[in-house]
Amino acid sequence: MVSFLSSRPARPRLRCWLRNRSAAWGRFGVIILGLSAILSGCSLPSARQQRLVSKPNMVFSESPVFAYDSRLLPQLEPGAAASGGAQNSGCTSCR
Amino acid sequence: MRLSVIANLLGVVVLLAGPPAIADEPAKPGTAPLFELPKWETSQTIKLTDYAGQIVVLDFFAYWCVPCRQASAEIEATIQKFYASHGGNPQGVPVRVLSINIEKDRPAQTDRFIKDTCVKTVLNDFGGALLDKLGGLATPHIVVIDGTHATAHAPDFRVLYNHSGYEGTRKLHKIIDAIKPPKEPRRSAGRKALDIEHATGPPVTRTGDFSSEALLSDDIQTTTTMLSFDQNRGGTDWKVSIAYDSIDLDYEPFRLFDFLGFAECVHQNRVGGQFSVRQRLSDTLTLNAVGGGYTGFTDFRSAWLATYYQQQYSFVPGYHEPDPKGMNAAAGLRWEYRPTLGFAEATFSYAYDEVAPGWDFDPAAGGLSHGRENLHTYAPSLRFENVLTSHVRMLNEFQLTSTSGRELRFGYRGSLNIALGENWVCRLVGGYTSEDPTLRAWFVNANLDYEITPAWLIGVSGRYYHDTGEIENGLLISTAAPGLETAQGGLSLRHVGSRVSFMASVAPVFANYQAPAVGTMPFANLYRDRTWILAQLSCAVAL
Repeated sequence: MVSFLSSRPARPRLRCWLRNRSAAWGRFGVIILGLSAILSGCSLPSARQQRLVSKPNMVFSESPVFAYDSRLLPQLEPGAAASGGAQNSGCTSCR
Repeated sequence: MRLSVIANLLGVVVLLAGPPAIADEPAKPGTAPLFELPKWETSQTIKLTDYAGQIVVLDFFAYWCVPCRQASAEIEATIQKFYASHGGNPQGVPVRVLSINIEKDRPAQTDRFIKDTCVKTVLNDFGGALLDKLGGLATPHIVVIDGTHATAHAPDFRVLYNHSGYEGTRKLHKIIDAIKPPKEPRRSAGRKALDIEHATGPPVTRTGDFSSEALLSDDIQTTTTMLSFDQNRGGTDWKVSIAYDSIDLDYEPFRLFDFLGFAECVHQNRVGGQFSVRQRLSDTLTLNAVGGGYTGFTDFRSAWLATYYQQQYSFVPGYHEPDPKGMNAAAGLRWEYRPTLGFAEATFSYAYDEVAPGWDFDPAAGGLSHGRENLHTYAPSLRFENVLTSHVRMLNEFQLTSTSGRELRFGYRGSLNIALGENWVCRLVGGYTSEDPTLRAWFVNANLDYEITPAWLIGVSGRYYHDTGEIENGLLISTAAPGLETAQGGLSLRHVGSRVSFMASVAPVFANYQAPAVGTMPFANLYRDRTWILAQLSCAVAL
């Protein structure tokens, strides 16, 4: 008999990282390399030119006052989760 | 093999990102440039040669520089006033502090800074020529100059300390106290160092944060509240947080596909705690470590699905109530490869979650069976933050996530903060997530802030999210969410005070699901279109 819910056997996790992931690692590497190449060519503002980029709403702060993300929205949007184990995986009730 | 490929990739990234900048080389002796600068709001000028035979401390600041506030106040109090009241350093050499303002615009803000920090001798270096000559890359920039070898005819001023960033005044005292005049000591030899009661070590800052958030619809209400305490002392920063989340559901079964279910009011909560430490290893490297745990449902969907399974199977032998809980740990290294302008951070995270499983009759096993109860999640991530121009700051984040029984998930998120002028800031965020075989999700987010005054900001925001639906996880019945798109628009208000800051925002969120597949129909009421209200309130207090 077939169970309602599918179940996949658990795989050794660390080996999963390194096996059959060439496509994902490739995309990851290409994006990082491209990005780094772009950024390395930029001219840097001197100390006296950093006023605007030092404004509190211009920095990527951990202060909740200048947090522009929602901690609850990822409950609704499974693809927007950026951290957390079960929630990050999208489905907490999956088999 | 693959590890070496990854290492090579990272190595190339490092090379492309440029060589590690040498921010400052403290205490490397050199010759000080002979400057002549105008005093703040007067026509009088001051020359370095006016201080021949003395010790000069230069404190470069700007009103918008947050750490400058503490640095300038402490240097004035524990260097300028202290040595003035003690007749100079232990060898009797006079010590003078010159506070040097690099910001020309908004003089009223600079006036307020001068008043708040009580600095007395303020000079202007609007063009930044002196700061550039000293190699200053950021503020505060502090320089100690030994002028004891200088005379009116031989201006031999030596730089003993030249550092971007504030390390406290204790280090400055050590340098100043060790300076001896080249000829006859002005006081008897062997005099002990001054008893510096008020010398400070690395500055200590303590912050208490409160934040609360609610996501509300007509039948689902979920909230999260967090309290945290953060202490930073020199190179060590630690933070402890506790969080309480609540979930309230007016559970309603979808009658066509659920004959056993009944309407029920469900309340669940979640309590969690996190602890994080950051330790600066060198001028450019910082080690990060985070750990924490929680107990309770992490989200309203799992609470809804657990209620469904409870109503279906709670009377069947073998069923047990779910008890979700979990823990997480992460460690990372942050590399400041361009001081204050460029950061790279690599983090490896692990999370263990005990989740509410799905249940099913399994005739082969002769009873109930349940799905996976434990999830192990491994997630390496990379972050790159760069100031691209004087108006643009950028953050790129890449994450791979591997969770038990699932395919590898790839996530990217890019953020661009753009100063559109003196008062306008635009923040753009975009993200993409991919998980084989079918999940693809992306979102864009835009915020526009307007600075009414330096202390008050209002903002408008918009967001659009789209996904192709979660991956079907069953043959007949699946809990996976169908494709979703959400649209959001909001308003926010922020106040930035010297001690207390707060933020309030509100945004309607319109969520539209694709039609559920037949296997997901028992959860049609969970995955129905809703209008939500997202409300946020947060406060930060400098303690």
